[in-house]
Amino acid sequence: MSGKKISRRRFLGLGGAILAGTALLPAFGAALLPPGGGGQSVRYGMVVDWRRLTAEDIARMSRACHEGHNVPAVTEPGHEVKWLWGESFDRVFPEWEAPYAEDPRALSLPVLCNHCESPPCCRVCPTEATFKRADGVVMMDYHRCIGCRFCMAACPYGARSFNFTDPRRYLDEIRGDYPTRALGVVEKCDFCEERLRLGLEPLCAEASGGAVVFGDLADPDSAPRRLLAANFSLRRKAELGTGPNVHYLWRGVEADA
Amino acid sequence: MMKEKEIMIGLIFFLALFTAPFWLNVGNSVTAAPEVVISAAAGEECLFSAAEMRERHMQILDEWRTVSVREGKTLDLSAGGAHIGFEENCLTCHANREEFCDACHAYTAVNPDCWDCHHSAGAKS
Ligand code: HEC
Ligand code: HEC
Ligand code: HEC
Repeated sequence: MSGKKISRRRFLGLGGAILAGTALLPAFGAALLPPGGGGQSVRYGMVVDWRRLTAEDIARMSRACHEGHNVPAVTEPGHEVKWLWGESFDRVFPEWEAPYAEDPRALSLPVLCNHCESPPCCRVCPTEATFKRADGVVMMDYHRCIGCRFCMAACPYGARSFNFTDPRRYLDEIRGDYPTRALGVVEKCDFCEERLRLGLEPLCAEASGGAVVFGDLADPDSAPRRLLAANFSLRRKAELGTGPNVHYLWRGVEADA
Repeated sequence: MMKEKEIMIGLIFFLALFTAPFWLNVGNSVTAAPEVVISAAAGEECLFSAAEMRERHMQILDEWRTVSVREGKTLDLSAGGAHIGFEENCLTCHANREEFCDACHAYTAVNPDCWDCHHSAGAKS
């Protein structure tokens, strides 16, 4: 009986030891983590120096992306499928009020999936067909998509498209490297994850002539992080708390001054 | 007692109906399993032994797909661990999809939807 009992003094002593151990955890915690995991995570992101891009540049980037991923050129209004496209400034940053600046409708920016930190699309997906990968890419698993379109309703950026028709009908030529999609699935930009694995940069960055800089935002020495450290930048609808990983450099103020 | 005759007729009727599939198919030849044509493009060996592939290719494909798409890893199926697409892998060797995958699937009445998206253009010639 008495052997099972714990004295008040001993109880408090053990509690203190646990507390002390927890306090020391940050110092020794690294040794407890599995090798290769934790601490060294990658977070892919993109910096768009949009002032350097003309509407033609954006069209070229869009074409590179859409041809590379067999994105169909559907023409019926409301049924278009887009991964990356140009949008006017007043639609990309509708909250931005600058009544005496140059006409915001005349400025064009490339827009795409923001690969958010806390993506609302992934939260609503009932089948986990869209999910956030450890490297930050918000992936689409087309094999699991049931076409419910909750993700399209949840995305504040309209970055997702639904295949209302057989996409192959709108492809002049099916290109080799990437599968098409099928009737009834949602699709979107995947940060060219199939190229990242091969050590290549995304097609849009490649076609942008250096105006789109892609890299690891978790690494303070990466090219995009250095750009963000040296310049003012904007993210789309950051006030929603989605944490977009596509940043738009705000250059021009100093250049025009 | 009185119903004996009716019961017998009913029983015979039931048995005839129950065994009808056998009688109706007597003399019909069984559909022969299609000859699986191994394309000339294929080397001597599959990624796994032919027997294992026949038995397990759906599981192999499913696992590969999950690991590749969901975990972003590349299964070391061939090409020395480099990322390689489903079409490029299987259909480069099995270039004759219609006579190979599709013929066998038609016979075994499986209808995978893979070709809605994956396409032979991805195979290397
Ligand atoms: C290097 C070329 C090559 C690649 C790559 C390849 N195969 Fe094969 N496959 C063959 C050859 C050759 C055979 C016949 C082997 C034999 O009969 O011993 C075969 C046999 C098979 C069979 C058994 C057919 C039968 O005899 O009933 C299946 C099923 C199969 N392959 C599926 C696949 C799938 C699925 C993939 C992609 C993951 C694939 N193969 C990739 C060459 C290849
Ligand atoms: C020798 C016959 C044979 C050949 C050749 C063959 N398959 Fe199959 N396959 C089957 C059978 C039988 C099943 C169904 C197994 C089951 O339902 O358990 C199947 C199932 C599948 C499935 C899963 C389908 C589902 O609905 O779950 C996939 C995917 C598949 N095969 C892909 C391929 C591909 C790709 C090739 C050609 C490279 C191929 N198969 C060649 C016999 C074959
Ligand atoms: C709705 C379109 C769609 C259908 C249907 C589909 N796939 Fe895919 N699949 C894709 C896309 C797109 C990718 C590339 C995803 C990525 O990595 O970006 C892919 C990737 C894969 C991969 C990983 C290797 C690679 O090519 O990148 C495998 C393996 C695969 N699919 C197998 C299958 C099998 C087996 C089936 C049939 C049972 C199937 N898929 C049906 C669209 C589809």
